[in-house]
Amino acid sequence: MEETFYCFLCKKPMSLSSEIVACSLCGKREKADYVCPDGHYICEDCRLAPPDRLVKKVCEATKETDPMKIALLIMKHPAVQMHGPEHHYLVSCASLAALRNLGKFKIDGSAFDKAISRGKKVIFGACGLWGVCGAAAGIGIAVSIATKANMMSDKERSLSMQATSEALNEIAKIGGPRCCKASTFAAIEAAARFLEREFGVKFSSLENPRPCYFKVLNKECLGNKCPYFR
Amino acid sequence: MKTLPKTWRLLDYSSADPKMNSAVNEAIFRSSREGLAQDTLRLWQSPTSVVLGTSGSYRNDVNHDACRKYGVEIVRAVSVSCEVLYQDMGSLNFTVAANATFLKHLVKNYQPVLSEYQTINEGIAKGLQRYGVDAKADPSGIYIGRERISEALPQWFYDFLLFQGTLQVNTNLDVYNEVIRTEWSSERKDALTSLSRELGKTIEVDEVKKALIQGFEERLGVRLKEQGLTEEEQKLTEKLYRVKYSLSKWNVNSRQPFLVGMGKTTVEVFVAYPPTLMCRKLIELVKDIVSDLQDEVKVMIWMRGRGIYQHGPYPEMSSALRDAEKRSIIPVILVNGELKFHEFVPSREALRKAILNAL
Repeated sequence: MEETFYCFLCKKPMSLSSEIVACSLCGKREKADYVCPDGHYICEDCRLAPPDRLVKKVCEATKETDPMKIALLIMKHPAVQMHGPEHHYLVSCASLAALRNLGKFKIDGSAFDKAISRGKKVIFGACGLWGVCGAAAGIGIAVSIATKANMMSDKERSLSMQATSEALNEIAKIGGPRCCKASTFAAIEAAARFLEREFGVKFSSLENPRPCYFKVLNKECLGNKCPYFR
Repeated sequence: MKTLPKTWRLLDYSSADPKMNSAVNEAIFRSSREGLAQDTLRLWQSPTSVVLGTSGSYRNDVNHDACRKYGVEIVRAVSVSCEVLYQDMGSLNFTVAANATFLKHLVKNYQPVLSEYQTINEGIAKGLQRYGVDAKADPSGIYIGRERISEALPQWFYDFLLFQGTLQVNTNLDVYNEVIRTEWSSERKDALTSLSRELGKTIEVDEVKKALIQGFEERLGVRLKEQGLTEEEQKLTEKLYRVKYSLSKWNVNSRQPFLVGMGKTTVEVFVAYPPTLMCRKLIELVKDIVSDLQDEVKVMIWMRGRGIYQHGPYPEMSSALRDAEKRSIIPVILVNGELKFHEFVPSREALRKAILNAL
């Protein structure tokens, strides 16, 4: 008997198909195998992709202007672990993709490569070891890339650090143990406030990640202590 | 209504090869985990040997000159403990292989892990008390006064406990003190005793066995029924001896092969969720190749992101597969925990050869 697979985007059972369908992650059109009733299909390449390739593909292809929606879409993919360093560059890339789609900054194709490369340098567990959560650093990286900041810059350098600092403050308020999902949500919410205040960027809407889609997968879930639990 | 005491197997089985004795312990532990045998108390003796736990240091914990002088064999047993045991024909060894959940109900103020060790030690101590000695148990061992008469190497697999202990009956404590060289060996010198030392005479080990059985039954509220090794356990013991306990890779370097359940050769296939065309081809190829090897080979299909409980409540996943998952190497085929093929579909001949070589 054919095994039933469940869509990792909507959890509905998938059925066999042979139609040409667009991938729900990267938009590539190909002959589908498993499609869910909501029409979700994940292409062969996205199913096999490591997290960095997946993040880049999704962010390059998306037309979405809500970074939270982009982050949630990527985080539902099985390549993205419950907790892991891929969240560090996922936050930057989702934010950069949304900013690009809003047309507020000139963000070219190399932006995602830069964000991934910089985000990978933030070690797993940096939150506890360095006192800097990688998701917060990811917001600083996004602002740095968007404003083309470097260590010699003036205002751009300050803004990058300020963005990290504000995201970090929000993440620190949540408490521990670590939750890369909660940190991602908090970082993106902090980034939205920061970008609106400093650059007048208003994301069309910011999806509310509550109640957390991932709470059942997290052995160390903070439960009611987490602002995203309910 | 009074419930009948649970029946345990009493396995009175010793091998003249200390390494084989360790293999038997692991075999009964695996059999218990798989539900193929009753919870077991094994009583056994072994020629002179030093037994290291999994993380024990072959180089530092043992005095190799003294081992050569006294003809002491160095063996490694599966254990989370860094204790080192000394055994000779004057020692009576005991092994408990059981689902330990019921032990929780036998103690007041249950403390995970420690209470299980304490309860088993209390069963053994109760047997010793029949000789009129004031044997007291704690989680670390059994003591008479401040001197230790018994210690053990525990190992866990989820709720299942393997507790491999040694009771000094007529044990040569002088050799014991010379061959073991751990950080705490200087403290141990004055802290050891044996039953014969306490009673001032040599005691028949077989006689002590009877006392231990009674004490164990009384403390744990079980009935011990003598039975031998099952056929599966005998086969597994032989395999474990061949692929693990007889090899210096394990005894010296603590490197062990990846074996699942009763030791079948394991083929792990790690694929995407849902499987892509390449993943499906891999799965079909593996299943087809092992169709005539089903008694000897276990196939486990792991799907990315589906969690560790894809294969039941007590999952066993090789560390190489965990590594592949972390590094997003997909799809992969591992045979006995070794990465054999990744990111392509191998030829039928190459895959069959890899599996047959691992049998």
